[in-house]
Amino acid sequence: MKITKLTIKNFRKFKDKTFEFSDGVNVVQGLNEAGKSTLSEAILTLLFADPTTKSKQFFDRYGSWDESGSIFLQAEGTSPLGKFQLTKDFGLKLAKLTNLDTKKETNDIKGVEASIGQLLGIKSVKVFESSAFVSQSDLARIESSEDLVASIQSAASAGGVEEGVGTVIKEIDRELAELKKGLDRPTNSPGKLKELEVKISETMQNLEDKKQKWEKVKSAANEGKSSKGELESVTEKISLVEKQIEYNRKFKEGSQKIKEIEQQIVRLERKMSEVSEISTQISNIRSQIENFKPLDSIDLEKTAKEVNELTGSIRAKKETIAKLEREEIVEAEKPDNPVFPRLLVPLFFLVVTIVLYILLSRLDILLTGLGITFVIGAYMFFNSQKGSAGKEGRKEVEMREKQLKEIIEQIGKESACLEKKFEEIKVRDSDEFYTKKAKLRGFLEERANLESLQKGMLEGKSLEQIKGEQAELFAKKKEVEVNELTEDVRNSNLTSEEYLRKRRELDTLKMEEKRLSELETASKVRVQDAEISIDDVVEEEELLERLNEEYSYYKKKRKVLELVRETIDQSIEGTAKDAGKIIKEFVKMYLARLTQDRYSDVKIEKNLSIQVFSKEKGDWIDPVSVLSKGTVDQIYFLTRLAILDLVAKDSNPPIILDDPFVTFDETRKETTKEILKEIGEKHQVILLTHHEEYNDWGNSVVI
Amino acid sequence: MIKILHTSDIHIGAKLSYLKDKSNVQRDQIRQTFEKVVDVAIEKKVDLVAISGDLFDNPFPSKISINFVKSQLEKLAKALIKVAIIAGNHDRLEPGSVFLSDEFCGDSSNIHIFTPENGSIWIVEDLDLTVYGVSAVLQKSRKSPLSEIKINEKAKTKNSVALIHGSVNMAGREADNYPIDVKLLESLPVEYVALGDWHSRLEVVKDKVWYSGSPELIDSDQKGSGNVLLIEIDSGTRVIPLRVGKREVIVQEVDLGKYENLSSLQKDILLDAHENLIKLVSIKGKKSLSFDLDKEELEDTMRGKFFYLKIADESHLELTQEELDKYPQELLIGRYIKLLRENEVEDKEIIDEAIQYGVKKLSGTQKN
Repeated sequence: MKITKLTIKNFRKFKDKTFEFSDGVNVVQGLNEAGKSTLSEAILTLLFADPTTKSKQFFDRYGSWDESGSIFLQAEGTSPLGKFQLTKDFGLKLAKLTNLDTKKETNDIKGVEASIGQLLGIKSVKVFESSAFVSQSDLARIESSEDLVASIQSAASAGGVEEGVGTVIKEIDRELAELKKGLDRPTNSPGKLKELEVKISETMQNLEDKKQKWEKVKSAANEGKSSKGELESVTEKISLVEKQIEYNRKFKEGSQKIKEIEQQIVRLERKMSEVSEISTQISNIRSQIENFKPLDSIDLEKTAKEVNELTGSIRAKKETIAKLEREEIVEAEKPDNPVFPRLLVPLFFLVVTIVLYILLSRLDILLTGLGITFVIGAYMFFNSQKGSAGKEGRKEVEMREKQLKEIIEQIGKESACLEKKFEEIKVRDSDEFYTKKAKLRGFLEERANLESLQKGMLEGKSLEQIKGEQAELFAKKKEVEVNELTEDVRNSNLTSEEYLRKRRELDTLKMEEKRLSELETASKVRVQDAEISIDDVVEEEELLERLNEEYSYYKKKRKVLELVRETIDQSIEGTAKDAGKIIKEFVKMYLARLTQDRYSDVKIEKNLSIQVFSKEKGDWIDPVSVLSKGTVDQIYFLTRLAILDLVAKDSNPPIILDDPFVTFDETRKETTKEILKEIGEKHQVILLTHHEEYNDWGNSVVI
Repeated sequence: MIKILHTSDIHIGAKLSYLKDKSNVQRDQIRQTFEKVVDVAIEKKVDLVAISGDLFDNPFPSKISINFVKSQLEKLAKALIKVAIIAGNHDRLEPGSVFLSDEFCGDSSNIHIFTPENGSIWIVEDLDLTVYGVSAVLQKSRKSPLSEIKINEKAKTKNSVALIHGSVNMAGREADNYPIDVKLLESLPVEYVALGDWHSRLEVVKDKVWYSGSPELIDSDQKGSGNVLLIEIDSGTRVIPLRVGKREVIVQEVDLGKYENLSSLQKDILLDAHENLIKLVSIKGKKSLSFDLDKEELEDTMRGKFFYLKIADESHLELTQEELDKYPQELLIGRYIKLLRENEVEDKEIIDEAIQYGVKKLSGTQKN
């Protein structure tokens, strides 16, 4: 593509300027620095800027210096597709591309852009700038091999980083190294990845710890709960067994009590029956004694004494009588009367009386008999007395008879008394009395014995009382049966074997109780002392998750950096290959001429560094070290052109040179002029300079 | 009239990983909101507070959590408000768990925790109210909790309510854990069913069966949380939602294509920012090479305006034609881009980042 005419209005210092260009090399002279840059910027703006832009920056930079009028740029040119006219009006915000041959108009911005791109073979201003646009500074920058490489790389990366890809690679490597620090080798200041790995592993460990501790707390609580539960059941069992043992004891006690009570009852029963038997006996005796009435109610001894006295007295008197009678008899016997026959009769009557008394037990008979006896006796006596001796004898006899009479009177009295007594006591005679008395005494004694025995048996209590006692005992027994020997108790009757077993069971249970209670206490303590709760676990888990997220972030970052690094390498390699090929062609084409045939071959390394073949040395060498700055510059210039062709291919866009050859000496300038002319056959070259020497380099363009 | 305050799924002690370093703050807020719930109950002079499960996030919560809840329940006891609690699948009745321990046992006659031991019926005589409740014993169960409820026809109080924890089969939600059949709920002879398990407030059966939802936001996908329900049972049942939660959550999807530059995107994200807002932004769509979306930087810039902001960059790189033109494939950068775009090994995300990063570096637009 070639530009034939260029109109610039209200663009920086150009109020209204038109330039006309021809094919081949065009030299625009007479512009100062500002003018040169304005022209080149105008070309770039026309080719690439968006006329609808509202950017203040844009208008500040490119707007007319007198601040009036809007930017208007127009160019006419030729292309393989025909003649064209390109207009961009930044005031009306229009762009137009017209094919002057076909009259086809493109009015939309995008369409115009696309078409321009096609015409140029370059679609981006940056690419154009870095390839078709060579300035003084581009060449001036190259001082060393690194600069050369960097510059070529920059061109090869379409205006990329000026320090060269190498710097980029270094930076990326550094960043990667920073990230990976500590991963392979231990270090004091680990990179993020290692740092996080360590933190994560620590946190995971902490988490495990905390989880375990918490599990312990949980299980302690559980154990506490379960040992509490177990404890409760053991305690229950214990109380059950204890109850059984207790009941068994109660049963034995109760049974024992009952047994005792029963024994007591039996004893009482026996006593009572004995007492009752005695009572019966006593009663028998009583009834026997009844027979002895009224003897039982008198003072027997006194009566006996009296009777004794009386009978004794009577007997004594009788004996006295007898004595007296004997005396009488004796006296009477003195020669006298056979007393004996005379005594016989009264005696006989006496005997009969006594016998009758004995047989009939009649006191009256006795008394009668005695009276008769007496009378007879007296008669006899008196009869006998007729014959008795004189007065003395008769006085004795009288005395004796008086005595006798007294005695008999007394006897009579006493007998009567006796009789009365006997009557009172209902006995016939003293024999009966004594017999009865003896018997009665016997009975009374027996009764007394029995009574005292009974009393002894009763122990001072009455039979009622004892009955009462017995009733009480019955009641007590009942009470014991009801209250103490309940059903439960009854059912807990254990044999001694069973009892032993139960006791052993109890001991075992009590040990178990102790053990569980200790466990429970211990777990309670553990739970209380536990520092770890679920909250701690949760926090640790959250921390771990955060760390893992961060770690993923950095892992991703590493992946990205490694991919970038790898791909950059590959890209450089590829670019070096393709660009290298064409650069090689280009440079090789002109190198011999540029170096007076000293170096004719060039090769491009993987990193786009150039090496030239020294015929002299017979080896490849770094050009910067051997070639002059000027030559190196030229080589760089050629690489730029090579890259342009690489990108634009057959579009052959115009090359704009902003006084790049200022530092060249004459000779170099000559060679460059020639090369440029050759290049000019393909590309339109617009050389901007404010030096005079370039007059014969090509078409002079007048401002 | 009986007044009941229905809440559930408080999840005291819950893990809140997605809130990163704000998780502790929100956990604290959950407690504070529960305190607020108690205050509201006292203020509204309710007769009964029904907690339908998942009061705690764990069957074995920390002492601190337990003591906190106890002190709140004491406040209710002091105000003579009764409390009915069932265990949810998170604070389920495991051996040794909090609701089976001595901590809550027989506190006072005003708190009733439903356990298998004390059955599913609580007759509150002074309120003439029967409360049915079923506690969970497992984390997951296919068994319907309704099978545990034995409706007592005989001891008829004037009103009855039920507390159940489980998931209901309705509206596109699977009844997966402790499933409950809606139809059975409809036919339950109670005036109100207080459901628990879902964290968003939801009316399941009109004026009868509701999920109260969590009183304070727990997960980012629960827009309907932050409420308690005030139930008034008179001749009918009236349900009044009350807002108690502090935080809100907005999940925002952003299409990068709508924004020319970063600042307009930023503006849009900041639109509804407030200090109690949790915003989760996911950026989707295409971004060009030059749209330098550093989500970390974006978050850092805007973070302070929210309670919590998270930006997820799910956009993908699509170079504009202009950008592609800028880097002819013959040259280094163009080749670099081409190689990466042809890379089938790595994830798209990594490739996109590599492209952006590499181009930035190689074109010198970022000295990093």
